[in-house]
Amino acid sequence: MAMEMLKGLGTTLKEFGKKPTTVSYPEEKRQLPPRFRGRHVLHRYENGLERCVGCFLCAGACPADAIYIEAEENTDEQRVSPGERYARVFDVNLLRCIFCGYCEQACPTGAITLENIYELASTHPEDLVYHKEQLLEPVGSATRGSIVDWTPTPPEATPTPLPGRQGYFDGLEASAAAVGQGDMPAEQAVFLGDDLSGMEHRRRLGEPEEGE
Amino acid sequence: MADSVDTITTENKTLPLGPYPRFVTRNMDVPGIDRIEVYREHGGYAALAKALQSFQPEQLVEEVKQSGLRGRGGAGFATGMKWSFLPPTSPKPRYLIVNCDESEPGTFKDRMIMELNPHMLVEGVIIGSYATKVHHAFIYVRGELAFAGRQVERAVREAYAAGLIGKNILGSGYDLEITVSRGAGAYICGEESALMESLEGRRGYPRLKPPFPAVVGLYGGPTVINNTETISTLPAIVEHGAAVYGAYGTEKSKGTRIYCLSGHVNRPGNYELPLGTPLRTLVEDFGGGMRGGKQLKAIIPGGSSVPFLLPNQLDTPMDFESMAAAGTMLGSGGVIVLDEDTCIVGAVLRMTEFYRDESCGKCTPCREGTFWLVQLLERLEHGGGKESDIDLLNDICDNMLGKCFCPLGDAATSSIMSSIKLFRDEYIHHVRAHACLVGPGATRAHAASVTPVSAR
Amino acid sequence: MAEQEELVNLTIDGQPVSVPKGSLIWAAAQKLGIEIPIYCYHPKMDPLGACRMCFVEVEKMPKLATACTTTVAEGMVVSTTSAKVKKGRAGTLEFLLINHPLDCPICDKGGECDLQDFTLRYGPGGSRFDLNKRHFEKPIPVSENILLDRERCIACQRCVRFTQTVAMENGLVMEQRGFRIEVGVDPAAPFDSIFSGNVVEMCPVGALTAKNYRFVTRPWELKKTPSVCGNCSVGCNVRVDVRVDKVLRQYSRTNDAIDDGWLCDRGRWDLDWINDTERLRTPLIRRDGQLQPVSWDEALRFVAERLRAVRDQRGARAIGGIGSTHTTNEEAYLFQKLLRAGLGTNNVDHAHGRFPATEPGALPWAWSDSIAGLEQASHIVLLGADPYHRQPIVDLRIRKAIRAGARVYVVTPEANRLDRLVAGVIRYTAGHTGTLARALLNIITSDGLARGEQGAQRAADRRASVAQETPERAAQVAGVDADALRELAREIAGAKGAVILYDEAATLEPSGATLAADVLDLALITGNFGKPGAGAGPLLADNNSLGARDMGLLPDTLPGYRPVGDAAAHAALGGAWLATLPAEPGLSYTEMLSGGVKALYVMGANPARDATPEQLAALDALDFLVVQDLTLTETAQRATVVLPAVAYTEKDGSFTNTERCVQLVRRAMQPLGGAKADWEILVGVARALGLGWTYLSPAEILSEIGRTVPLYAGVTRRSLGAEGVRWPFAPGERTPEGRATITGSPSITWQMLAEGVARAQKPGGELIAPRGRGE
Repeated sequence: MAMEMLKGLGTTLKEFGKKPTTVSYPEEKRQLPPRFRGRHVLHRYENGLERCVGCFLCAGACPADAIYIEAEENTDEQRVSPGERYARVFDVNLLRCIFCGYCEQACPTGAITLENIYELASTHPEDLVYHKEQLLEPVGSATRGSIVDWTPTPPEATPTPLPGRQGYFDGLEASAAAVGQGDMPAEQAVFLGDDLSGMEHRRRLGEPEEGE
Repeated sequence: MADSVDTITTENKTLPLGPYPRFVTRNMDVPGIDRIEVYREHGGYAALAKALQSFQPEQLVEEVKQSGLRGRGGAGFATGMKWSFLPPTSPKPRYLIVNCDESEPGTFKDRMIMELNPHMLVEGVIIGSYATKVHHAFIYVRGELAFAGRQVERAVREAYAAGLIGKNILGSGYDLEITVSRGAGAYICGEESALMESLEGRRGYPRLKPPFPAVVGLYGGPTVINNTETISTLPAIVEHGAAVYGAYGTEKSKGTRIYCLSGHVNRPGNYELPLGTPLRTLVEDFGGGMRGGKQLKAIIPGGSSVPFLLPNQLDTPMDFESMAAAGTMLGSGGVIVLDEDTCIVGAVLRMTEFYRDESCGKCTPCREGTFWLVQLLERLEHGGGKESDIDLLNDICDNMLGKCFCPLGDAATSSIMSSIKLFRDEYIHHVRAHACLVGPGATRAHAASVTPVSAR
Repeated sequence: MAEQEELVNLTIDGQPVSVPKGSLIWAAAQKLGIEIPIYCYHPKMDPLGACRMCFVEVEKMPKLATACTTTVAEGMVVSTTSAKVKKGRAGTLEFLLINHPLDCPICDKGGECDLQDFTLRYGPGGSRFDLNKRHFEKPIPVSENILLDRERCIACQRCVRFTQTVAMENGLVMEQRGFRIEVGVDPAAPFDSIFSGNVVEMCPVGALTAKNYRFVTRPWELKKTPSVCGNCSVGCNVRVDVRVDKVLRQYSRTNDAIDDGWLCDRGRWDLDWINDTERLRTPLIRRDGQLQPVSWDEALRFVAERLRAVRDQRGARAIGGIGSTHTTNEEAYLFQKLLRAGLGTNNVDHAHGRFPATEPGALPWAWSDSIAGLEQASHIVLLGADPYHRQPIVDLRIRKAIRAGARVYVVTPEANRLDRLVAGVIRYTAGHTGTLARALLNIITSDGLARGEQGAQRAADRRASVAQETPERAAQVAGVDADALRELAREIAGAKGAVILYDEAATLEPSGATLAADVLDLALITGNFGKPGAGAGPLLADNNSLGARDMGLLPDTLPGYRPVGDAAAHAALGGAWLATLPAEPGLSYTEMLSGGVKALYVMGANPARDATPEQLAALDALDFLVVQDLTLTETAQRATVVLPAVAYTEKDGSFTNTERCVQLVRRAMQPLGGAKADWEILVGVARALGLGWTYLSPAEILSEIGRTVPLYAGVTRRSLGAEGVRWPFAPGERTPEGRATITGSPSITWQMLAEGVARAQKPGGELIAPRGRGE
């Protein structure tokens, strides 16, 4: 009997000096991995415009039917996002959400990401339907969020879809309607790139956005 | 049908009217020949009288078949054959249309006929209408050719006044009305079905074929459409007879035609030569050789829609078959000569811009393809191109070739495809050196200073 | 198909198929279930051959052929999957996409876009285009309802060809040429057609979008239910698109016999009344002069109590019911059953045109031919009818008939949109449609223009009654050109097949009392009856105007046009309903509104809106007024009890359109919370009244109609199928599973006229053909 007790005590003693696995939450908070998926954040461009264009693709991708959107048209008086369309209502029902991150993958503009916000408890279920105002990052603090950690770097050989020179055919001025190009000034003639990753790639390489 | 003219074929060289007869261009330089009095003094409308008096319409069709006359518009279809496709009877009236919408770059023969000798055209129209039993003919003149249009309108007025058009022409009991219609300036309206749409007052879009115009044409009636030069040849055929006309040219391409010589030669202009005359004769003997003693680089033998020929092909006879054998086409007879200082990419770009601007926009490959081709060629010409662009150009052409609604799309590709085949090195030079191989764009400084061409 | 068509045999992708001579390869492939992508081609329009998307490879043809322009030939061997075809299609898609913006995420078409779909199926994986796209100003309005985004346009010209060749109205045109080509509107000819919405639907990309659908949803969010439009009497087949709790649009669901694949703008977008936030969500009872919310139980009990009280105190004849032309057949049937069997009164009616009283076995007053039959007509006469505004898709079919060569005569007081297309236009003073009809009869009978034996007989019968109604008199009274009338009469009398249509509203004019009978006689005497492309009839006002009549919402008629005095019908129905039915005809709509009753039950109608001051006073003087409706209408505001009902998109049922086609309506969305379907309310009231009604669904009610109403004999929800059936019905072949089916009739024939449209109802009964009654 005593033998067994000593054995048990031995285990305790063995672990005694080690660093504990648990932390004293909430006084102390754990460092989360960069790809942790917590609550959603809606992002902005540097110029303060919302990235979300209200396309419903996240809602369509959502396996839990947790996202509800109502879109509306931007006007010159009230410009919320670049281009024509923005989300007037953007609700995420976190009681339904399974934090799979499909919405983030589906988003054509990088507007929605799952961040490391996990303190989501409430005693009122209706509090857990987050509205756009709660999800949006404040003006002046535009970030890209965890999409930076998720987007793979394209291989060197990937042909760049953006041309090196402009002006052979200048057409008319481009509107910023090309989805995902919203941080380009809307009034300037711009190239319409084919995908976000190409742009992101260039940004990371520190290349200028436009040509030579 | 060749039997009757066996005795005077080109082999025994017994040519009735000398080696270079002038069927279409005769009397062209007589002062005032555009007036009916002068025209008649020089034997004008005699052929008409002969046709009405001594020929039944069927005989005339047969005569034209015998002469071996082929369409001078580009396709080279036998005229007599085309006429015989008209159904013998139909509930709707039949029409004859003269296609005077000459807009092929490098071609200016119909314009000369209309401006200088419009009565010959009118006489041809009356003979052609009589042969095809048509009682209403239309002359569709290209909008930009304002003077030519006025000349033809006046000639028709004069002919009406002289009783040569209208009821009971020259007492033969044959009635004919002729309407001159002026286009609004679209290349596509030179395509026969688009021309009919335009004549009917709609947008110049090509029509779905079949039904072909000979069956369902203008206003739903059987319609025959001929080129200006084709029609203007008729008086000469009637006057001299099919045998004399057919004595010229080659076995399959008979008679003479007008060659429009342009480009870097000493004496550009219209030359009427028998079919089968070698290119060299035209360029060196008639055209007076290359301008400034430069070297010949390439020849476009039939208007901008046909592939290039190289200097070593200068001895190719200018008839439909030989040209096809050489990999190009006789087309509309617009011979464009390019010398050694010509940037091929620039020349091709200019031609492709023409097709981009003249595409009617109906079908996708032509509308979008020409747009894309011009952008790529501009980039290449101005030194910003990539080597992959050259194959891309070829593949875009392949996606257009045979896939467009009407021949315009195909026409746009021929100069590009043939120039890449023949002058690929020059394209590559543009990419690598960011400048042209020859010509003013050969220096980088020039290329950089070129203002980008913007689409209007 | 009666005639044996000449068939052509060909092979597509190794599968043999036989199609009628002259078919396109596209149609043959369609028959085999092989998809050939198309943009410019539209099955309802002539081929254009512009988009170059439908390439197929045909053996022995040097070039790729376009399936939408190439007709089939015997022994043709077609491949839709060869490498050459794939390259051709991928090439075309690459071309289309070089100038197409990449704004799919915000494009209203995204998700139901042919360009997206075909790119996914046939397109190249990527684009080699790395230059500048063409840009235009983002959406510009082309009409009040439609926006044009020229960047997205692929110049297929479907919209342009629709407005020019199908709608034959001012509309869209192509502007510029080549790569600058764009769709535009002539500023002098605004695009204001009522058919304009079709271009939005047929646009294969998001170039033309509807203003009121702009950014409201994405297609995958929509619940799409096949149903029937409830906005007019044509009954176009639609797909109701609902997001959560709102109807966002109706899309056309092709039914060649009715809508030919088109839908008017009213049907497409006039749906705000369903989404109205003012809709009633709870029953209301008037207490202390105010309408106050109560529970359904309380409301139903209250209604039953009060109705019973009125009946006990003043007798059943003091109770009346006004039904609706908007509710389903099932609800109309239940409503009159409640009044007749439950409360014991024949006081049941609805707002409708003036049609001569029904006689036993007589032909019901309905369009004797069909909408599709218009295409076969040589002549179409519109008498006081304006289908463009009232039955738009009938107007569109008339335009199709005009293209097929029909001579159309527009005889209306006002300018009509068809005027510039038709063979003749006759104008007259409003209110005299009946005068004109009688003048036409006068010409026909006095000039001996009758055709056929029956026609001559009928002409003889009618001659005296219209002897005074000469065209000269009409000219005097109605300001019409007498010679034009004479010419019209001769045209009708000499027609290969004439269809004469009048508007239901014209029967309400002072001169219109006998209009229905006169027009029918006009057709019968001139031999324009009983064959496809010939006939006469009213163009009714509402989606179930005919159904309401069919179901017996008439004071003198039991369901299926059997007079209330008909002993056999009386006995049969009484037996089926387990009730003793009143035999006296009841009070009419106007009589009930003139103080004829003390208690009034109004279902889905709003008599107060068009009422005279006297009628309003009578409404206010009622002891008891129940109103079932969607909103607080003028009538509901006067009611004692208001019961909230639902719209046709929120319930199952069936509608009968103006050409006698009975079609299924399906529930496309949850009913508004707190409101109930009319049939549910009626069942609730009946049960509160102590009647043992046990209907659980409209299907059950329809089956009862199929058993008890001879005109609808055999009708069940299943037998109506996806495209509806036109009465009179005949038993059809049994399905392989042994289910009974019914077949309809495209037109009412002479034989039906002689034997009665519902043969089942007449064991030896005398049949009376309709006459010019009411004179």
